[in-house]
Amino acid sequence: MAPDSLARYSRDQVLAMAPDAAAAKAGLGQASAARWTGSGHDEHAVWGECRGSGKLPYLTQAALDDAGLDDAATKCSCPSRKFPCKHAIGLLLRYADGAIPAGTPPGWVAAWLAARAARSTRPARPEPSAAAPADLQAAQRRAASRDAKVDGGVGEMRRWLADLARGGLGAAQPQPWSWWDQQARRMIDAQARGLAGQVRRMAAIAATAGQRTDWPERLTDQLGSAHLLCEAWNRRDVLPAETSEALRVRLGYNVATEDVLRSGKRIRDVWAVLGQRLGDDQNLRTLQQWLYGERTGEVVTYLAFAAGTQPLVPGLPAGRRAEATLALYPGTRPARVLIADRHGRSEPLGSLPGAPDWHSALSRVADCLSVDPWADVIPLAVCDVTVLPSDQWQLDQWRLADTAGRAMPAAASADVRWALLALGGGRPVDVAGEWDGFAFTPQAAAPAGQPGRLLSGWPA
Amino acid sequence: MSWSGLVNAAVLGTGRTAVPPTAELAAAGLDHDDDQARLLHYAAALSRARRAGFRPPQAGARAAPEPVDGDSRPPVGMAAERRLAGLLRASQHDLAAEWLRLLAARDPARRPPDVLLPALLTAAVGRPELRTALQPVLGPLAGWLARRNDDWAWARGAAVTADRDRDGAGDRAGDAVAPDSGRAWETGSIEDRRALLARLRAADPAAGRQLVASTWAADPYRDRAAFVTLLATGLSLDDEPLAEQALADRRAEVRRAGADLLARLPGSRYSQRAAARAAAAVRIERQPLRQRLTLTVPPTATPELLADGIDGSPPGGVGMQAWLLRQIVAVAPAGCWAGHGLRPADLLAVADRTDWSGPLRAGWTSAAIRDADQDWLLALLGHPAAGGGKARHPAVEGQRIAPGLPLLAALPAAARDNWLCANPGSRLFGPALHQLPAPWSARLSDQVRAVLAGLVRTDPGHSPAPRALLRLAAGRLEPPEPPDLDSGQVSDRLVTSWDNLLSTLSVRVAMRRELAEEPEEPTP
Repeated sequence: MAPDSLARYSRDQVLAMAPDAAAAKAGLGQASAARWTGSGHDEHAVWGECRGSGKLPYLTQAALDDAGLDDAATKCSCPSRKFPCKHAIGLLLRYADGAIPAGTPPGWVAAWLAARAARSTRPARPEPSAAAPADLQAAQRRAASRDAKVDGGVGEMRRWLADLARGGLGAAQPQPWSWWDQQARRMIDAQARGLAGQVRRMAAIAATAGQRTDWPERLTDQLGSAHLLCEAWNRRDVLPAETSEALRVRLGYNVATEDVLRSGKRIRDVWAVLGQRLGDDQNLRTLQQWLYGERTGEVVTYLAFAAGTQPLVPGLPAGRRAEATLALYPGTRPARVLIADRHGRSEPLGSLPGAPDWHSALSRVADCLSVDPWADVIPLAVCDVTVLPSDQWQLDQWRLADTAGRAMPAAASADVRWALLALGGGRPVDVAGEWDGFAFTPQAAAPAGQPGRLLSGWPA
Repeated sequence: MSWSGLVNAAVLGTGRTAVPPTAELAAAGLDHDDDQARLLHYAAALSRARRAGFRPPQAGARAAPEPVDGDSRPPVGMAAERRLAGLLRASQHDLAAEWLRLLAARDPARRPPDVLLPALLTAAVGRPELRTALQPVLGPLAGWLARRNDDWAWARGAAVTADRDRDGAGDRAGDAVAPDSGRAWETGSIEDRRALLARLRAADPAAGRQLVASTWAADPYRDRAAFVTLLATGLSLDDEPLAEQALADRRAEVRRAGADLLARLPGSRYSQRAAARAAAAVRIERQPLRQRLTLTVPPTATPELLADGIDGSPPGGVGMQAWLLRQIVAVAPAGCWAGHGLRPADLLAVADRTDWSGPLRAGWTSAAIRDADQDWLLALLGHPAAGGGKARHPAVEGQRIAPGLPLLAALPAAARDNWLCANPGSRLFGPALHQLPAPWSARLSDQVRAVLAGLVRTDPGHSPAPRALLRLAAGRLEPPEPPDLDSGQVSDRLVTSWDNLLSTLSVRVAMRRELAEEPEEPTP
């Protein structure tokens, strides 16, 4: 056994597996020697018995993937619905610390491993072509009825937009949230979630108009985007295939993950995770990552949602680089992806794959828009930019000047702005982040040419 | 139609402004019968075109900041950086302060991660302990950042000093008295001036005194009082004239500060007066088998007393004579009672036989704390009034405001730890631990481990104190090793707190390991 197999995961990697911050913290609490008896590991698994609040200890086990991924399959006899549970995280943390001795798996571990091995050799799921013709017809009926509903929603949206255009954005801006929300709800009823999102984005711009002078431009921009969705829907039969796919996604049609995994375009590359956003809106948690392909130059996005106590399917390790085969969703730009396969462990980030200046970085925008004209947030990476802070008490934005002397407005929280300034100390930095059509939000950065790191988006 | 023309029309609305038809719309085959439709078509097309063709404007007049000077210390490794980032994100400021202290003690020196410096500076605002830990590791980048953010103004000078100290050229005292300190004194904010004076007094007391004297007449009384208080560092008889001047000031605050300073100055005329006055007020008569105190206290404050900063108006419920006696004893040097051949403990016992034991003890307590007189402090700690009696449940009983706590705090660290290790059963033990700065000495840590081992086994019942103590010990035991105890013996109620103790201790061990790593130099 290789000597480094004792540290197949680092503590950070283990904590990144936790479904949320609370689980990570609870896992830390389970990592004390006091909890565990009968723990051991071999090259396939780690196991142990954890003393909990009950009379019997929980039997906790984790299978170490032979490919040495950052992820581990875990099983625990506790009733927790979180996955992996805190006991499994605690066990893996102890393993990462080298606190678990090598040993021979007891019967319950061996049985689980055998069952897992048997499962993985079975075919994953039946071929969809086996679906009965009756199912197919039912599916077509359902699709037609959904399209009809969306038709109605789009028609209603067109009338609403026309009213907005007549009354003027200046009159709409002071409207209360409920006024916008009413329209958004109508769009949800019409099963056009995308149009509802469009309305809510406009509402958000209107609500924060006091903080930004460019709200008329931003609202007009969204007005155009919304109108284009409606127009495109009415001409969906004559659109290019990819744009038509993008349109459906932007309107709120789902693409089944099975379809993506089965027929989506695949790209294998070493992906640098240069941006991560964790959202927690009421009951819905979201994870969004920007992945930069180091060999192909592709930039794609990973998205995951989870409601309630559902686990959030993790993407690639944030702020690291990892080789993986990704399956691309059709349509939207930058393409949304699923992680089809991982190849080997993640590594620390290298230098950021930036364009030499804003001009060439932004040249990708037109390519994205030509397929998906609703691409509203575009990841960009640029090398050698200088941070131009504004006076502390001026409302003027900070800017990031490239070597050609062009200065991009920086939209970032104070923490991120100052972190970026400190990272460069007045010298050029490489940045990666997202551009919303108006300003750039840095998410990862490095002193020019040096290894990058995330500036934000770590789990709290 | 231009983008800006479109935005204007969209804000106004087609009800108030027209969007004329154009050939472009007709050519694109778009319906263009009404103003609204035309406006929306234009918005769709122009907003997409604007995005596709967007190029940021020229940087223009705004100047790039001058790059910061290089820091000769390489940065810490990635594992240490991620640890600190995690501590700051989780608002674990005690552990962050410890991280910084470990960094400051590291040899060879490393600098804190540049990218986390703003978060550190922000966290240190309003957290004096974190700021104290941060200041020694600040380098030129901190000063450079602080000059651009008023919230961090306190770090402007500190960073420069830290940098200068590290150069190691010449003696520090000479360095600290920068040639422009006079100007900084005259033009600086009150915080800057205080910081400058504190630094100067530690390095070159005479220079500090001269600065205070140079602006004495012009400074507002609050500043004068603050400066006089700061003269306590590096105090010598050379400061007596300035302190006497403060004692004669027209403002009571300044007079009080001056009196306090003079009382700290053994051999000053003031302390000689105070000692004589105390000896006259409290006469010790030695008889064959016992001693007796005879007290002679003036019925009201005399002009001489008032001139020496003694307050002539007692608070409610306190008699005039008791009030005066207390102050007369308090301003006298703690050492002035040694001449009678009685030890402080004996004096306390004799005083207990009088009606005036309260004011006498209060006076002695003030003097002992001010002069950090070990004999007196230990004697007062031994007195029942200090609240140091035996606890039924050691380490978790006692009050956070027991009179003995300030006495313990005034002891030198070694003597304080001696006392605590000798009295682990005292009611002061637990509350004192909460007061002590981190980290605890190895000896005290051993003692606390022994106390904790007993505590978690027996669990004294429904009280939050055991949990609070476990939480405290997690951050302060040094080295960060757990008590020697099998976890199976921990009482059920305390298992969670015990686990938290173990996990915090393991984080602190990891912090040490990560900071000790020698990261590879980044390849250029």
